[in-house]
Amino acid sequence: MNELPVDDDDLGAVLWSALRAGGHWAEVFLERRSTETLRLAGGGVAEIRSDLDLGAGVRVVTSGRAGYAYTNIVTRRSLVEAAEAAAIASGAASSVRAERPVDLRQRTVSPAQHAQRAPADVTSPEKVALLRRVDAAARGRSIQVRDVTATHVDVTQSMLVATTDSGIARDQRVRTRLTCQVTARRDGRMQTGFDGPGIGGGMELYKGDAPETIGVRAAERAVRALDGIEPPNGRLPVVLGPSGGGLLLHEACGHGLEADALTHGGSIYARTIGDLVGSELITAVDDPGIAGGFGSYGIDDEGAEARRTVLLDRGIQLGALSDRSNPVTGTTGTSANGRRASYADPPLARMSNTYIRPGSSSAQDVLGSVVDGIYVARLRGGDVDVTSGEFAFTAAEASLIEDGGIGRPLLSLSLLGNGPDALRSVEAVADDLSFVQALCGKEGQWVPVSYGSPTLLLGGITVTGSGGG
Amino acid sequence: MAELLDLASGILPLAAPGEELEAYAVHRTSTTVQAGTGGVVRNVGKAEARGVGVRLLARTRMGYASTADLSRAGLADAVVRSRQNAAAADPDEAVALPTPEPVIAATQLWNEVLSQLPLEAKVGLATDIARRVTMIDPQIRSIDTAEYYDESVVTAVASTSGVRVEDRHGYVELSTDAIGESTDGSVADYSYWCGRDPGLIDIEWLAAEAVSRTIRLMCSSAKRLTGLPVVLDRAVVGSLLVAIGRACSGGPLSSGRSAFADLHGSLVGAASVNLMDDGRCPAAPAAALIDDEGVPRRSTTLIDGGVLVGALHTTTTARAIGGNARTTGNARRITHRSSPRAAPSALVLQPTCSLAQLLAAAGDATYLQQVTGSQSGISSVTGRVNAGAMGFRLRAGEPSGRLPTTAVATNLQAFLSSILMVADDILAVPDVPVLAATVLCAPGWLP
Repeated sequence: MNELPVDDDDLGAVLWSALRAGGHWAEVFLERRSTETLRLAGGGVAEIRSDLDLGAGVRVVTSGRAGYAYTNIVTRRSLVEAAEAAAIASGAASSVRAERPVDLRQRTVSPAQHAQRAPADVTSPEKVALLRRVDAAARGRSIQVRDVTATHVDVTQSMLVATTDSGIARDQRVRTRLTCQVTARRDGRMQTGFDGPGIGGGMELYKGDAPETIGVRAAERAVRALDGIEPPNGRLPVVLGPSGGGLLLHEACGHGLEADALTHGGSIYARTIGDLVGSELITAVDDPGIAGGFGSYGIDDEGAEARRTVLLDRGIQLGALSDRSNPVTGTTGTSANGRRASYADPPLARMSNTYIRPGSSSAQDVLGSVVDGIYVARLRGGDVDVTSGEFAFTAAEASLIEDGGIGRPLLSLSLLGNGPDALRSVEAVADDLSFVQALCGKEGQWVPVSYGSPTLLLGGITVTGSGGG
Repeated sequence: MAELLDLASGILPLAAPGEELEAYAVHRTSTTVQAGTGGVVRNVGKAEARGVGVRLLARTRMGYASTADLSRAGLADAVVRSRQNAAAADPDEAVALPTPEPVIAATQLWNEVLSQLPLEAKVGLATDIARRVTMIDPQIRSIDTAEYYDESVVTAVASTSGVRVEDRHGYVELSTDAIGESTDGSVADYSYWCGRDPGLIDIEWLAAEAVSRTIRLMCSSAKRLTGLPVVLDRAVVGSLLVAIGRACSGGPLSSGRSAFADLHGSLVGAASVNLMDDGRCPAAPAAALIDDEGVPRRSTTLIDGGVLVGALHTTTTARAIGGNARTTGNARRITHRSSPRAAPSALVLQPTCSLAQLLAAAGDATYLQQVTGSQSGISSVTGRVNAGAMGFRLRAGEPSGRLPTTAVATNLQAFLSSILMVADDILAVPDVPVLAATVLCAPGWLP
């Protein structure tokens, strides 16, 4: 699995062909990827599928214009053809070709993801058995549980990046995720509950009674939501539980700090570098080097070694997430955040593992400080307009705050606001940092990420519900 | 093309006695051009990829495997893996491969012009629109990205049940955004065109549309009044129809994970609501003659006069529902890596009036132009809708003041029941299987 069917001599030939065609700089991204998906639904195995993919993307830059071509026919000849196509797409003219050497030094970087127990070493029947434990635990939680869908996905990827100026770097990545979606029904009302942990690792995700814990957790969320009451409408103090603040950071701030949004002028954060854009309690970081993180990597998809970037330092906008195409003014080159969904896609500036650093208060103290507000344990998702900063998030699990604690559950609700305003409104940060794993979409490319936060108190944010059902 | 069908057919002899086998082969080529403000070309991408997905049915157990390795050994390995996966699956009486049906090529979904358009002409379209956007109004000085995209897809399906079909389709898209800056901050919106003949692109209109949509959101603020009729832009309607389409799909319906489960034959919308799905519709980007298991696509009525009358099926989901249900030609795969699932191809609300008539009828109204939070906030399972929307006040059919972000807190049935008029300005919505038109909803729909 780990062997890629191209040697250094082939890579040199491909890069050289791009330069010979008139390109100024060239890169080869080559990957082999194995994906296993198993889905249990309605009490039975609904799907088992496996995919093997191998392909390469070649990028050539000429006078600032990038050309990209990919192929999943991985031979020296087809890669050279892709390089020539990318060179033409970049506007290169072979009559003005540069005569420069191609750098084929090997760069050694340690992977950030590692499987203690490789998914490939576990058979499909064994994986099905794990899903059955999830299903049984969820159904056993309540007779109101009507349907359970448990899905296991594992991805094992070997990749390399070779460029004309910075040698060849390789990375091994492995990630495993289990998602459990439960539908509960009572008196004509239907609600759903979800849990979906993942790791930058292998089957150790399931160690101990993890399958049962995950099934029960999703079921409890669905069943508890059946008792939900309509949420209040208006501007209210909101306590975001651990992880909820992570999504807020990811959507309402992180995307706006991605270099393409900053350099093209579309981001609300394009003109606030060095300004106070959040509460002084907020220090936010993106770190692709976290060992075992769902969004981790040893090198990014442009070959840059993973490094940590401080985005906000005590509320001050400090860093940006950049790739090679979009160096941000005032920063030094790439921040190693160039990522792609596969060889079929050119890299984009993306987040990896993004989180808010923990504070010193306890979560109970933060909750206890609110007299009249709501507690959002989890956000399901949301959208943000990076230009205006306006966002809308949907709470997957929310409750009233009553008597300084978590009170009656609420039906689904929206949180509406503006990214910088929301970050400035943070009044307390607890010490219970926790991460959530997800796939993040941008321009049709989905990449694994995680986002984390401790419990946060936002002084005032618009809450709206009344969706019926 | 014949080469791809031969490739798919060549896998069938690998089926063991008692097994049924289906091979789905795809060959996709595409071009992407991205330009920034002033027409500066940032990226040009050319792509070509092939792959095969194998469904293997061992009595009542189904397994799936896919590969990009089209060598004899790579394909044989995919069959072995699909066999292993079938062995680990549970028996399911509903799983089945479709039987062959005649494909009627009544619609032209391939335009040879697409494959002949030179790269520089494609670059020219992206740079042209990128330049034009900032030349229309001084309030619009930049864009994020203008993008040209075209795609040509050849698919072939062959099975031991006798299916042996191939299809070729393609389309071209051109889109741009426009960024407006004022003392109140920045806003942006976009325009989008999709079709099969790049010669039909009206670049002037497309640039003006992006600018116009952005400037509407820059006008001075207005206060939102409750109790007004609500006009929904195509973008907002598209988001709602995506969830409705999912709720009308076979898998969610048979499992009960649908807001429309158990509502077949019930009134779910206003009498003016007629919702169809037709994956052959030339205006839809992904239009094709066959679905992703080789069944001819067709028109399916989902809601007729407000009554839920139909559902979208694959061969398997139809069998799972039972009764008279049969495939509607709605098997969809994202790529060869995914097994087919029932999903919409091109949903469209049948128009009841012209846009001018709708705006005249709306008079003083709330116009919602953009929706945020729709992916997570609109649930096809519970039907709840919790999203935000940006829009403006409409007075006598004209924009008159941007509204603060508006909460769209409702449910799918309430939306369908509130529809008064559907305009005929039908256009494809990017990235979703929906052809949307402007809709007028009754006062009181939004709290």
